[in-house]
Amino acid sequence: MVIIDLKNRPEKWYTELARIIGVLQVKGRLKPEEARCLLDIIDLVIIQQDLELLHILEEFTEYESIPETEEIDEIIKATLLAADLKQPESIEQLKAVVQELVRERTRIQNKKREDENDYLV
Amino acid sequence: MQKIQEEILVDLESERRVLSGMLNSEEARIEAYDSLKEEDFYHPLHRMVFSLICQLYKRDVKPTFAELLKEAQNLNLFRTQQEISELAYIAEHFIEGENIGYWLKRVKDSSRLRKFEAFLRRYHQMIREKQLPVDDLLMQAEEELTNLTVLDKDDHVDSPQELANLGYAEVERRYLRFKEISEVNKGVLPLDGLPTGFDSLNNVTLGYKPGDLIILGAQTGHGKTAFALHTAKAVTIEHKANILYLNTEMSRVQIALRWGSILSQVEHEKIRSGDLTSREFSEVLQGYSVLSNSGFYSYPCPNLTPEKIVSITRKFKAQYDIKMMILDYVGRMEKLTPNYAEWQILEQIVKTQKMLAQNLEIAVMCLVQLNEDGTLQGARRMKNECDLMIKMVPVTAEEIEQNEKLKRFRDVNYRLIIDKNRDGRSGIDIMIHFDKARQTLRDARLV
Repeated sequence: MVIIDLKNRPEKWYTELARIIGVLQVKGRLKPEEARCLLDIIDLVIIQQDLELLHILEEFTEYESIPETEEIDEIIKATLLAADLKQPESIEQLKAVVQELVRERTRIQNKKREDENDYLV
Repeated sequence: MQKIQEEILVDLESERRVLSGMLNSEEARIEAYDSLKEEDFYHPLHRMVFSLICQLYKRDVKPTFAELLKEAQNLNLFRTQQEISELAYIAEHFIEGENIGYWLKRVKDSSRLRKFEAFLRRYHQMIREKQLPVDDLLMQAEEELTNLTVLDKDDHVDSPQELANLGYAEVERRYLRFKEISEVNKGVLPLDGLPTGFDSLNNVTLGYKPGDLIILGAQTGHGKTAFALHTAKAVTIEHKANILYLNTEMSRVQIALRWGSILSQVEHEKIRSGDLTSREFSEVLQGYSVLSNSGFYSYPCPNLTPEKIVSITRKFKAQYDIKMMILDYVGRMEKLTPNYAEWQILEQIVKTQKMLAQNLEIAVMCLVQLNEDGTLQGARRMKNECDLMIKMVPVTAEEIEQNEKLKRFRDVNYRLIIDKNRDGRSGIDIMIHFDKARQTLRDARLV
């Protein structure tokens, strides 16, 4: 009898992430629609291996939120929550929009960093 | 001792294994969906998870862990952290699809033992309370015990009263239908089952009924697939029911092109070569728009086995509520037991198809190849199993010349010989016209 151990495999991360999302929702730390959206995203990235979305999200998580990007963060969140992540066309549109927003966010972050460096110099 | 008893009656590990198998393997989902019920699980959470997976499966949604959590969220289930952690444990420890049978049996056995224990407790109580005379008590207990030991979940023994009620209801239905035929429909028989695509065959069979196994035999190149697709057209497009079509020898493109011809009445050769006028092209496109809104589900599979047929058909029954499955054709199926003679393999396949039709309550049509002399290998055994056996054979110009009956038809070129008809007349011929160029069939027209 073969029992497959998922240790150290992406599926293990997937299960753990889904479990944490589920628990956070039960504890009231995530709203149902937020939990739903995050579950859709991990399905897309880990199970369906949508690497494009993964790279966009990687870029998004590279820098922490700052007051100057709060507004854009809210727009990204609202865009993700409003998208139908079951429809391929909707996913493609979402990726295009979020990518633009993330680039703008990165640009703001970089500009702030440059300004800070100028000030220090 | 107490612990061992509990382990036998409550096998939580097997329940987890079945559920994890269902999460990770389609084969396991099909098997478990078909053989288990919610109450076979002891743990309430496991019952809930089983029911959620089945709901997703019926909607053709892959039940990933995330999908399961979302479904539970929609139904306001899983309210504690422990429930979610138990579900994560199930999702993480999955078994390979081929082991599912072992775990299913363990879950079923536990469930049956729990029922047996409940039975013993109940009768123990009845003895103590002297609720029934001894003879009645034993008789009742024996009947219940038989149900537990011999019968599967769907089996049912009819009591004399149940059988009489069934007979009464059937005769009443037929009586009312006969009145309807004579008064409302002016002699045209309403069908009991799915339309055959031929008025004359409808009259003889009253349609293909749930549980029916229909065998259609024809020589190679004499319209087996055309007959199958003609049936599919009648059922899916004219009757708006869903059908599963399994083809062992044609590609997806070939099947799609055949439909183009059948639905547009444009010659098949023209469609294949692309030599179409703009009007014909538009007619073909219109035909495909009809097909796209129909319930025709096609599964071309060159290495089809009896096991695969059962599994695919069950899946489509659960997810698309198919009313019929057509297997085109039996002779091209994979032989899992090469030592068997051809007739033994055919007999095996046909038996499986009959059981499938009865268990799923759908009509199953199997296409078989006739020998050059018009006979059918293993015909007697096939005939025993099926409800309707039809042979489609060509009618030659010489035959028409010599036969007065055939002369009454304007364009007969094929006949359907009804070799067996469990519900009606057999040994009769139905004259049809087969337009090979357009791959269409219809009743032959009278002069």
